[in-house]
This record gives sequence, structure tokens and C-alpha cells, in this order.
Amino acid sequence: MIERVYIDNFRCFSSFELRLDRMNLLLGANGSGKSSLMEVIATIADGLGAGTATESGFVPEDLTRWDARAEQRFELDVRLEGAMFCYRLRLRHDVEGYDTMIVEESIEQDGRELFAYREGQVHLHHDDDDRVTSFPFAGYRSYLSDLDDRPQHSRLARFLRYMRSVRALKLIPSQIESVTVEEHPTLQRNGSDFASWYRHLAQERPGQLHELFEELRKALPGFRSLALVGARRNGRARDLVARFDSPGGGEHELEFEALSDGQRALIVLYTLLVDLRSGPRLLLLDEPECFVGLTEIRPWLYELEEAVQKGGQLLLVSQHPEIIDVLASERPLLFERADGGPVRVRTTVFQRDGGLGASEQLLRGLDP
Amino acid sequence: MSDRAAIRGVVLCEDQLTEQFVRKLLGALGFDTRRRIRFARAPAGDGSGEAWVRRQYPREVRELRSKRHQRDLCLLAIRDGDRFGLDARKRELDEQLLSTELAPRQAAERIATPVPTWSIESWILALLGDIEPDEDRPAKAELARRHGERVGEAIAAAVRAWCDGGAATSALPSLRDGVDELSRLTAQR
Repeated sequence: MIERVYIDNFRCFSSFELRLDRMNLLLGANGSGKSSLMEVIATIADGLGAGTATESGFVPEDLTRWDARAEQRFELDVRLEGAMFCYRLRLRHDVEGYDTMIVEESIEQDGRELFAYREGQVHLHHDDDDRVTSFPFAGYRSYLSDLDDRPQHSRLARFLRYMRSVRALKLIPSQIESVTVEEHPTLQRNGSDFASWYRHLAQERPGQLHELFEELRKALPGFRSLALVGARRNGRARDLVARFDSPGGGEHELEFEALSDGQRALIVLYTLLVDLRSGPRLLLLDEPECFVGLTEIRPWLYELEEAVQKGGQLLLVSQHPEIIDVLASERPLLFERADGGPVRVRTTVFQRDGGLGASEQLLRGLDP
Repeated sequence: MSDRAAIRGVVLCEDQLTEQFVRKLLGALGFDTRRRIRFARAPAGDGSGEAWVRRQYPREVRELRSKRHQRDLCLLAIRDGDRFGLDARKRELDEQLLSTELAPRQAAERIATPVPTWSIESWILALLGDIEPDEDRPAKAELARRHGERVGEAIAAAVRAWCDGGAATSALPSLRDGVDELSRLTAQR
């Protein structure tokens, strides 16, 4: 899991360092940096998987507006089965040319360098001996996005597998389309390609669909199953449909786009839950409760907590009292920006002796 | 719907582990923990979780009594015994009611106040047979040490042991008392 994040010269983060736990509830006013923190981690993860670290991820507009420097720094400390991986990334933005380059990127495991990119050269260290393979590379994106599982770089691959398994979601249910033309191994942050991600899961892990449908039957009255049907546009196109009990018996189908926003959100959230149960990973959830009915938030959250307990990690932004009151029993992180300045985070926030719930204390502006 | 599944109620608890245990236990006993049982747990922060439950208790008792005509309501307030133990913790709750000018809990009321002693971890480990039952020794670290990330599975096994009679016959007095307390949730009035 990610134990430490360091961000410098990114939006409202200036020499910002944060220690993370397994469960992390991010609280704070609008504009206090919660979503930006999630975005940094998700963008780094994207860059290590899809090569977007600079090309479409970090952009010059993200430089801190009151800081004249053109360089940004990001660091992640990630503990995986006892080994500590330290990832460092230094970027330089050319604001006028609208260009972004990686100046330096490295990964160490327990103090030993596994990979480095500096001065236009990639340096790849082999696992078994002191050999280093070096070659030139243009720093428009991370070389690591090209690196696949090779036996001589198994330690590096372990770190990359973890980072590539990160799921980030800031769900906009109305943007989810019913049609899928191919499988997507990852889910877009707004959930828009859910049908394609579901298609991937149905192909790769069909055994989990039963578990998913069981969960959804509890959450959605009359729900029976999801299915990929038809071939309207070409041979590969499929429509994602949800099947429900019909009032007079039998069942009927609804295209995914015909479902309500709340129904779509619940289906995505429970699919993420089942996905999390299949393997420990980091979930970044930005206000996942939006659109979800009040009585359905808690049951999903409870299952999520239990799944995270088994080796996952959760960063969750929420403004909803129901979520705040549940997850504030873990270590809440209160994001603050005094006078619009850099982000600071407090960890001891609430009073328990007073008898008020966490959300009520926030609403009343109580301060320890 | 069984009688238990129709019961609505509130559970006040100190932390996530306790909620996890109670939720699984009530579910196994036939309660509808998804839609009809409301769980409230203490926030992290300064002060003790036990005190948070104690301070919430009078408000929930008042609410329950104000709906006396609704026969399917219940309240469960669970707090660790710690070094104070079962009797002292129960006395504290009655005193808390008296301090807010409420009558102490009555025999016929569907109010359960179990007191896992030393803590909920002691109950789980005792139900699993992992340790010699002992209410005078903290066991918080022991559960994590033995079960680590698989604590959810340990809780599920402990709940099965409870349902198989392991709680009623336990050598832990607080665990045997817990069985009596839970029976109050379905008591006929």
C-alpha cells in the first residue's frame, strides 16, 4: 500500500507530505486539495501503465500559481509484502511551448535502485547481479509504461503491477454508455467505459459475475443479472443490459443507458467491490455516494471496508454525513488551506466525549 | 419475514471491529442488518469510544421510549469492559440515564447492553478457542497478531461458534451475559 506521498509545485500542493493508512477518509472544504491528491496518484499510476505521465497527465496549468519554478516533484513510498518501494518523478514544464518533460524518474526497493531515468538515459538494474542496462530515451513519457513482466526485472515488475492495478473513480453515471466494441482492462475515471470494463471482467473472471449479481440483487429491487447482447453496429459491438423481474412474471431487459443514475452508480460501485475482493489494490474514490440512495450507501460501505481490510487500500473523498460518520472512526484526514495558501492536513480532528457524530461536529465547526 | 427480520433498531458501538462482529452476529441470528438495523460508531479523535457510546445512549433510549407503541424497535449499546468489567459498565449506563432524568433500563425493554470484557477481541479469540478465556488481560494486539488481514474471516468463524452454542457455554462471564443481553432484543412485551 502507499504509505507516503510527497508533492511539490502542483496546484495547491507545495512541499506537501502525507502519510497514509489502509483506510483514508479525506475531508475538507471545496478547493482544499482532496481531489487533486487523488488525481496525482491516479495520474502517476496511469503514466506507469498507459504512458500518459506527461503527454496528457501532468500539464503546465497544474504548476502552483504563486510559485515561479517550472519543476514539479512527486514521490510515493509503497510497501508491498514487506518490501518498501520508493518512486520519484521530477518534471519540467515549458509553459510557453506547452511542453512537459521528465527530468528524472527512479524506483528504489529498500534503498537499492531498480530503475532510473536521468539526463536522457534509462538505467535498468537486473535483479540477480549488479548489471545495469543503459540506453537513451526521450522523456516525453515514462519508459516504465513500456516495461512488461521480465524475469530479470521481477522486483520492478512487482511495483508496476501494483501501480497498474490502481482503480480511480470520479463517477458520472450519465456518461456511461451501453455500447462496447472491445474489452478495457481498466475503467475510465468517470466510469464512461464501464460496459467495456465489464466485458473484460466477464471474459477474464466469469466466476465473479455470480458474486456480483448476488450483491446487486440485494441492492437493486428486482435485479436479476447483467448481460452483453446483440451486435448492432459490427460484429464486435455489444450492448450492456440489465435484466429485472417483470411485474407479471418473467423478466425484461433495460439498456444500461435506460437505468437511472443511481442504478448505474450502484452497479459500478458493486463491480468495483467485487473487483477489489479479487486482489488487493488501491481504490481512489471521489464522492462515490453521489446518486446513490441514502439507505444503500451504508451496506456498500460496510462491504467495502471489509474488502479493504483484506489487504487493499482506500482513499475516499466524501462530503456525505453517512460516509463521514462511518469512516471517521478510522483516521480522518482534514485538508485545509489557510488564506488560500498551500494544503495542510490535520489527522486528529474530532472529539468523542461530546457525543456528537463526526459530520455534525464538522457542520458545527468544532475544533479540538 | 421472520420476527427478527422485521425488528428495527440502532446499534451503538465503539469501533469498526465491534460493528463488524455485531453486524455479522445479528445477520446470522436473522436480523435484517442491511435495511432495518442502523449502526452508529464513534468517530476517531480525542476521547474514548466507550464514552461516546455512553453519551449517545440516553438520546437513543429516549427515542425508543417515545415510540413505545411501535413494538418492533430495539437498541443495542455495546462497550468494552476494559479494566472496569461487566457490572461497572452496566451501572454506568444506568447512571447515565439517571443523570439525564431518565429511568434506568427496565426488564421488559428491548435494550441490550452487552459488555465484551476485556474487549471485543477477547470474545472473538475465546469463541475461536485461540486463547484461554481471560477477562483480566487485554487481547487487542493478540487478534491482529494471530489473524492479521484475515480478521474478517476470524469474525465470521467466531459468529458461527456463537450460533453453535459456544457463547452460551463459554467460560467468559461477559460472553454468557452477552447471550442473555441479545435475547432482550426479541423479548415479548
